[in-house]
Amino acid sequence: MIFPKYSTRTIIGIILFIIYPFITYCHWFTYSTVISSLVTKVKSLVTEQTSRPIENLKNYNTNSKKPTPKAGNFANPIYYEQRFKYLKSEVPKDMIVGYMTDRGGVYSTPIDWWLTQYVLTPLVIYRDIDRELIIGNFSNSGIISEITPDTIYCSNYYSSEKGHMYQLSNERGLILVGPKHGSTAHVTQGADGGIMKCSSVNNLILLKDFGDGVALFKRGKAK
Amino acid sequence: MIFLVVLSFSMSMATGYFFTISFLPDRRETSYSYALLKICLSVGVGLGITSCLFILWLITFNPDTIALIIFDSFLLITSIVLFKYMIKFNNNSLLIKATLPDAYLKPSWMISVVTALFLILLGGSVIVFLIKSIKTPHGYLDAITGWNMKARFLFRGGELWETAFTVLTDSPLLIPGTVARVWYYIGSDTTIVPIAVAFLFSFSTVGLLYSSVSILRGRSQGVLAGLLLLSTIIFLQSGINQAADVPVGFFYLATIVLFHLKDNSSKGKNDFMLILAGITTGLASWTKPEGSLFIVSVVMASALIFLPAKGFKKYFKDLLIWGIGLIPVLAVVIYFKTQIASPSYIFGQDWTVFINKLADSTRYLIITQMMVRTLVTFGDGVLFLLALYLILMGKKYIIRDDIVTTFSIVVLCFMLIGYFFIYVINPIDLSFVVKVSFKRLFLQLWPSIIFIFFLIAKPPLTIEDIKANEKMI
Repeated sequence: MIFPKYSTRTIIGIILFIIYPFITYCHWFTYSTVISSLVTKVKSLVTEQTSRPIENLKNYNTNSKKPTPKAGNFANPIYYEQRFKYLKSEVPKDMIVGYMTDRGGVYSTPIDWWLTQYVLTPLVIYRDIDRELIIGNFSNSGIISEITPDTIYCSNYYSSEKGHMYQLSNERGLILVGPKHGSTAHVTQGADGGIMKCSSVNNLILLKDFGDGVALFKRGKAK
Repeated sequence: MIFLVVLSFSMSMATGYFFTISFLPDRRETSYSYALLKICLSVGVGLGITSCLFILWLITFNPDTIALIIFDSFLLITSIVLFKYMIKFNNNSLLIKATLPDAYLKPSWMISVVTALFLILLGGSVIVFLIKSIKTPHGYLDAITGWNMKARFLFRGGELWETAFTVLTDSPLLIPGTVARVWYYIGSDTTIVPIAVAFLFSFSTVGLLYSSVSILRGRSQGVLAGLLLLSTIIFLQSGINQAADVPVGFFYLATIVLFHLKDNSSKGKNDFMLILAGITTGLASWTKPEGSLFIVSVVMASALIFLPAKGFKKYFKDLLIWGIGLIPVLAVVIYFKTQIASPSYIFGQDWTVFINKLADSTRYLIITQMMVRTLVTFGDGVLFLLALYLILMGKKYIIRDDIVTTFSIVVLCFMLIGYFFIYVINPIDLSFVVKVSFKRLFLQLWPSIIFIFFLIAKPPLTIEDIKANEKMI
């Protein structure tokens, strides 16, 4: 007998506890980003070394340094720190500012807003445009020049059908801005799912375009 | 910078150490497990107390680094004075009634294998923790949008830090306060600090679990308990994510452990450990809103279990002693909730909405289904492993009327019932909220569940040990 001192039950019990961490850690490694990125890195290195000559590899590495925003970056605070670096110094720290975005606006998951708030702390950012200064966080800088009163629409209430509203916003290329902070009361849903022309944006002035979809707007005198 | 980081953490932990040993009894024989238990408790108690007082300091004075260091030094001196004073009164000693002494169990190579695996896993976990934390220094979204953002407001906001709570949730400030306090020391909001806080709480939980089970049931059980916790990936991942579920789980475990140690403290008249248990219960409510539910659960479970067993006089006396530790921390939590934080999105609803939700039977069905599903898949089916182990090993070998274990089980049951009813009245999409949050809520209870499990389960004894034990009984 291999374990003369122990009863069979005890041996099985202990073996279960020895096996369990192997199972859980193996399972973890299957979805862990550290392991998968390491595997991808090794794979890409192996592929590159076999398919490209060394001089080409040098060029490839230089080109790969160009900043190309990936989809995953939109939830990366480090990426947000870089984007909002210059805006930070332009806004007084003790202000409450507004916020708008093209990515679903109030109907998007608020990750982009949270991250903007995180990197710009202690500035307090409300998800509305009824403020003296308004921060724009867009997918790309091209959108900023295209913003006109006709492309910004207001939504007077928070719809329960977020998916539908998000789709509507994307299809029409509209920038949705939400009701004033704290006023979650439903006003009027309207014929078009609550989306309506937003008179308050008529006097929106672009103060500065910081690039990479980051902009600062100011509320001017009404036309 | 590193010097100031170390200084700030050392001040916290030294304060915590003197507070902790002021209330803990001496153990006659030298015990490494007991020394480890004291150190692990000191980490949580120290960070918790200094975080609490840091917020009071922010409320009262203008933020200033030098003043903070002087304030912390004064706090450390106070804790040393308290320790010196308490030595006169703390005449209890820890006598473990419920188990055979560690020395009785002969060292076996099978336990050595498990110990080696535990140590390898511990070392590996530390490395993985550090590598992954360097890769994601800001933590997961919950840490970013909750604790770290609040810490940034506390640090960067200066005198205007309170305005932040117009946009932030009503979660209490143990973690943000701890992080911001260290940032004030070094004058910079480096991500090293939240990583260090998460690291300290994660591995203190492992240390506390190992040491407490070792003291109460022997080293072999302690190693198995530590091994099981480290094998639960969601625990380690939550630590890396800097989620507050791990710290709050630490305080739940600390409270339950202290109740058990108090039960084993058989000499002397003073129950100072209950004061410490009160502090850790209060610190749980200072860490996360669920901590308030923990206070209610402890009060209800103690009334249900201790009141009939001990009688009203003894029960009320114990409750008062526990309250001495709890009330100062709870006062800070209540002040924060009523004066600073925005209203809770759950309890800010109209009462008619509550009634409608409570009367909706489909909500109960959905929650039950989702909770059961989560429990089945939790930790890759670890609950099945525990059930199987208990069947194989049997319940503990010395049978006695253990009301503290019953009390601990009832506390955890009340917590689960509490979670259930919070879900019932929750305004957010039900399936979504249960799916994303219940595994984390269960994780908060997980170290305590492991602790209780290894108090109940028989240790892996050799046939010789079992025979000798039978003779002793």
